[in-house]
Amino acid sequence: METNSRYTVTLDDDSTVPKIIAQVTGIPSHAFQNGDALLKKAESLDPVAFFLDIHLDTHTNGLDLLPELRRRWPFHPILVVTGDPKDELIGQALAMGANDFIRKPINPTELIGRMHARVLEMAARKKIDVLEIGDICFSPSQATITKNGKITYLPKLETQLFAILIEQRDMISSREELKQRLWGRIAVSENTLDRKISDIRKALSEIGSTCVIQSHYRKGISLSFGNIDKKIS
Amino acid sequence: MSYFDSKLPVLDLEMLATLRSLDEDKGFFLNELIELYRLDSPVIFENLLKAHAEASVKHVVFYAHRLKGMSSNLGILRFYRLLESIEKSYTQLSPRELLEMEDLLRQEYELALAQLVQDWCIQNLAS
Repeated sequence: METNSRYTVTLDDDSTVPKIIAQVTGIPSHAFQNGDALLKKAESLDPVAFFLDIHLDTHTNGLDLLPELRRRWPFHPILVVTGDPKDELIGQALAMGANDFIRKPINPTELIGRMHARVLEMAARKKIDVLEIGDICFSPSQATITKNGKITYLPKLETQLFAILIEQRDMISSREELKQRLWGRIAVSENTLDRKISDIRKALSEIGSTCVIQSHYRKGISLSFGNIDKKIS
Repeated sequence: MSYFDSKLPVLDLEMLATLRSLDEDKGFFLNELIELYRLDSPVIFENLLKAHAEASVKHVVFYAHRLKGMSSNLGILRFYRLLESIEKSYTQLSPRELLEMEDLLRQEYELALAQLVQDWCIQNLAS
């Protein structure tokens, strides 16, 4: 596996796809035909971007891998490549952590344009890894929240959940969307999500933050700083 | 057959020209893609026919989708559209359409491969 040069990673059971991606981008594309093979090599991979097919075989679905890929590579662009005409699948993929999508048949101009845009976007996001927001500093890569020298650590999933809530601060995120982004299509109970939220609240309380995570009956969850009544209707 | 448009061109010439332009019109890259298709698609094609013979909707849809993806990327337009129709509406086809499907698939697959090799493979272009 090349680790020194630039390359992309393609997960697709169609062997022409990584060839086309490599030819269009001008850098090699390491091809994987199933998710297990990709995850086995995960430690040694640092690609420019991931290209992920949705339908891999009759049993597995590329969407199932998305939460794991996003956890391992928080700042790498993940683009879904699909020939599926159903828009809802693309919506699901984006909700679960993909940055963008490309439809088959692959249009070379679109592929390169979308990849470049996502590479720039993720690089910018990585630069501002430490977010100063409200009365706290949050670092997703370090999984820490700090306030006035006090520091608290979050487990992986709680970090991811907190990052999502910050991204969508002052807005209500549905419980369904949050569960999809954290666990993909794996069915989890409402309690599981509630426990994660409770852990984040505890962490925020430990450092004395004014950040509030509020549950809205039948609507979802929101995060806000300061006067929450002003921001959430 | 209502789900098959025989008036469509067999190949998408614009798409094939775009693929050929990816290596400055030398054609080696397109040749490599065609060879990959010739190598990989027969197994999927046979699996599709087998699934159809067994009336396994799940597998017909899966193999049609897979072959559709490969075919679409190579500009194999009419066959790709046929597979798309099968993927979308296999369960709605009439008994007669189902009966004729294998022959239609074979005819379109072989025609597409023949045109692809004859018109777009380097060895044939040179001669």
